[in-house]
Amino acid sequence: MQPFLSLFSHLRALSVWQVLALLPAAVLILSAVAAVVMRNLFHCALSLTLSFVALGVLFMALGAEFIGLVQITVCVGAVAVLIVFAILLTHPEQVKTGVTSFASWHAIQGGLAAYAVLLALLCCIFFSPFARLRPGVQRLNDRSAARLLPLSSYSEISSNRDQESVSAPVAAIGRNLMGPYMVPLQATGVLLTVALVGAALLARGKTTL
Amino acid sequence: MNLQIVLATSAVLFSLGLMAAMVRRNAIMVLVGIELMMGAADLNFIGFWRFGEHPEALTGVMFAMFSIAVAAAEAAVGLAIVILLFRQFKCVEVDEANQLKG
Repeated sequence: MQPFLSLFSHLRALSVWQVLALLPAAVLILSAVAAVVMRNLFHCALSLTLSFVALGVLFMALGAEFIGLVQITVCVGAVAVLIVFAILLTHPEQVKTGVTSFASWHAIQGGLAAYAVLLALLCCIFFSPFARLRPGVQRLNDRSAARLLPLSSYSEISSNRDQESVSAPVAAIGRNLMGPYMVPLQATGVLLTVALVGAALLARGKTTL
Repeated sequence: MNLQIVLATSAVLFSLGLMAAMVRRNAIMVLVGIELMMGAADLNFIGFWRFGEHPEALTGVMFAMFSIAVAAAEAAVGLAIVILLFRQFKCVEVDEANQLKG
C-alpha cells in the first residue's frame, strides 16, 4: 500500500499546471475505453481518433513535440481514415449492428485475461524493486548498489527532472535520421512501399489467392 | 508527471487494446485493439526516453518514430485483409472465418 500512498502524496504536491499535464492521459484513457466498449462501430472509430489525438498531446507534454506531431499526422490522418473507410467498405448496411454481446462466455474470458494482464503490469510498475530504483543513480544489475530507495526519493528525482527541459529538437532528430539511423530509415521506406503495394494487391478483388 | 504515471497509463491502454482484440468479434475492432496496444508501446518508449538516463541520446524518440511508421503499414495491410475477408465470407466477424479449422 505504501507505494500507492506515496504516489498519492506526490500527486497532492503537484501544482495546477502539473495536474493539467495529466489531462491528456485522462482523455486518452476515457476515449480508449469508449473505443473498446461502444456498440456502434463508427463511434468506436471516432473515439479511437480522439485517443490518438490525446496520445499525441501526451507525447508533446512529455517533451517529444515532433513525435506528437508525427503521431497526430500519421494516426489521425491516415490510420483513422483507413479504419473509417474499411467500416464503410465492408458493411454499410450493418454499421449499426456491429454488436458484441458482452455477456457471452468468450467475452468474459477475454475480459478476464485482459484484466489479469493489467493487474500484473500494475503490480510490476508499483510494487517491484524496479519501481524503487532511482534512475541514473543505480543500475538494475549493480550488486554493490542494491540498496533500494523509497519511492518518495524517486519521485523527487523525477520532479527535479521535470524542472529541466528535456526535449527532442527536430534538428537533432534529422541529424540522427541522416546519420546513425540511415539504414533503419531506408528499411522503413522499403517496408512501407512493400506494405502498401501488398495492401493494394490484396484489396484489388480480381486476385486469386 | 513521473515515470510511474506514464507507465500506468500505458498499462491501462495496453490492456484496453488487449480486451478489444480478444472480446470484440469484428475484425476491424481487433485492428483497433492492435492500434491501441501499439500506442501503449510508443508511450512506453517516450516515457523511458523522458525519464531515462540519457535523454540527449534520443533513442526512445527514434524508436517511437519507426514504431509509428510500422504501425501505419500494419494498419494498411490489416485493413486490406479485412476487406478481402469481407469479399470471401460476406461478413467481417472473425468467428466466421473458420475454413482452416480442423
